[in-house]
Amino acid sequence: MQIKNLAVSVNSKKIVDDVSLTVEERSIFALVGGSGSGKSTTGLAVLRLLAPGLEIKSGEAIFGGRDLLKIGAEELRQVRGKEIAMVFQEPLYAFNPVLTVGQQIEEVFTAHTDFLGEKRLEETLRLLDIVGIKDPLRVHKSYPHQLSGGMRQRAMIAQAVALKPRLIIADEPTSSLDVTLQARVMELFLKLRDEFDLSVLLITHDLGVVQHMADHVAVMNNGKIVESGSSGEVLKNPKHQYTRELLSYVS
Amino acid sequence: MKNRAWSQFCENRWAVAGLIILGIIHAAALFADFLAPYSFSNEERTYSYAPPSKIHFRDEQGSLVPPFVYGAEIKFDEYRRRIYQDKADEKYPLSFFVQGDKYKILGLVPTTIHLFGVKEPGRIYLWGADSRGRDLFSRLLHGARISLSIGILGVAISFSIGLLVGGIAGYYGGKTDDIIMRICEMFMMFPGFYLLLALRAVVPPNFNSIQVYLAIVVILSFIGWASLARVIRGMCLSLREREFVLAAKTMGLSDLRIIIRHILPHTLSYSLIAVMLSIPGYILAESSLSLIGLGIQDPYASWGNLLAEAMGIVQIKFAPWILLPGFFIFITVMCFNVVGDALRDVLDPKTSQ
Repeated sequence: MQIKNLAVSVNSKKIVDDVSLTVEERSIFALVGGSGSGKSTTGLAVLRLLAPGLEIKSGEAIFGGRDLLKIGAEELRQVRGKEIAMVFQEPLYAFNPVLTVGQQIEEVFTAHTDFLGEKRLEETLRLLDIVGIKDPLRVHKSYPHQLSGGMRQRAMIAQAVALKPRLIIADEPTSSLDVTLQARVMELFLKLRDEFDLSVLLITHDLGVVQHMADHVAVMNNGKIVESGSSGEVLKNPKHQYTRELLSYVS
Repeated sequence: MKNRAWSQFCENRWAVAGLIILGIIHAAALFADFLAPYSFSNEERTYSYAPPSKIHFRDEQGSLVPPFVYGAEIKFDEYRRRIYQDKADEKYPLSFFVQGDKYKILGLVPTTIHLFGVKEPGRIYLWGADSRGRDLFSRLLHGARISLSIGILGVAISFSIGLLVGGIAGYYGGKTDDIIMRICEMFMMFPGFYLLLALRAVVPPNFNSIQVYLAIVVILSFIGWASLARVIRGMCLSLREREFVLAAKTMGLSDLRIIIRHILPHTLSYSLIAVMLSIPGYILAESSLSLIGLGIQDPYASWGNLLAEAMGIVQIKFAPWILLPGFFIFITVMCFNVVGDALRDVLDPKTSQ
């Protein structure tokens, strides 16, 4: 996927300004920045899911030969969930509290396939197994608040990979987890990338995570990309003042 | 959590009593054909305004016998009003599971068995008779069917509309919301009862009773949905900002599915309370229409048109039992309100202490 010159503004103030980046096939691209830097907005803009008031001023998001910012509503719906999926920071809020986790994972199948009930259940249990959940049947029947944070995030990831999307946009997927769980979830992402041939746009503020996982990294500050390149290079040899500042907090 | 709410509900004795009474009344309406000794149209005009039959357990000698009723001897006083006296030589034993008018159990199985009754030509009027000698007890049971089902059906229709329209207005917001809300306000602007009368006037006079029944249901729902839609809209405006709605969008679900499956279930507890508290409105509206002769037509019974007989002071003076339908309306409406209030206390966190 390629984002070209994306600009998002609210009340004519630009909060994402001229952002361009390319997520290559089967790679993990990290978009790093402090809060308010516009990294999450970039992720949501690609799927045209900005909150009301935020407006895409210009730019393109080329994905599979189409510009996602221009295609029709139905075509866009087909892309969401099926070709590009999203993982959120806090699955407790991203899951609907009145439906079971299983029901919600099955929603993806309802939206994009004609699987019948039994097939949906079978697929869901298989997915939960893939993301490393020990007793899929129990998790399937549980409500979000009945699961631990790690389990919930795994279930959310299972939902994201359900239809083998080509890209996952992960918005701070590990920030709500403790350190040991963070590492496991990141390992899971790596495993899934290999298994499903998908690429990940990882939105994070945590350079430690970037160090272990990302192939490419772009650093955002005040809505602009200040520095980008392969992750090894950028982290070892930061050119921009802001990147150095971010790095100084890690070690 | 559900259990906590339920046990809290059970602590409210009035609400539990209300729920039980509602259960009994609804069950009685469901099995009206079987419980009632006569059909709703079974009439015997000589027994006009016959008083409630006394059921005797002892004969003249005072010894215990199976229950029976006396036949009636009808005399006229100087105003040609009927005076009913027991005929000592005519006894009709009260029997159970007797043959009577034909009906179908739950509309399916044809049968003639009634729970109780007396052999012809004797008649049993548990709660008296109306002007045409029809059994008020039987007609009350049959009337309960219409009055109660109009409430439930009307609420079901208007709440489906209200939830969907409110959900759409709240979910999309902006212009859609503005337009829908102005339409709602138009409906709420008119005084309900006059709108009811105006709409009733539109219904063709040659409709048969089932069509009239359905027309009344539709008219009532047509009036009732707007206020609910407004409240649901307000709830959806805040619900749509929740992250799980965003997550549902990223899954590629259609807007309608997001509204119905992901947003509206969150309004369930409010809707449940609102349902309980608005059913009485429908029952009362149907009764008012029938009372003034614009609702269910004779010979079909509803609590409203049964009560229409009690509009003259003379009838009330000499046959006070024809006020019973009013009593039943009162009890039912009270029970729905008490149960609804208790539900609100239990389910709505804003009103609980």
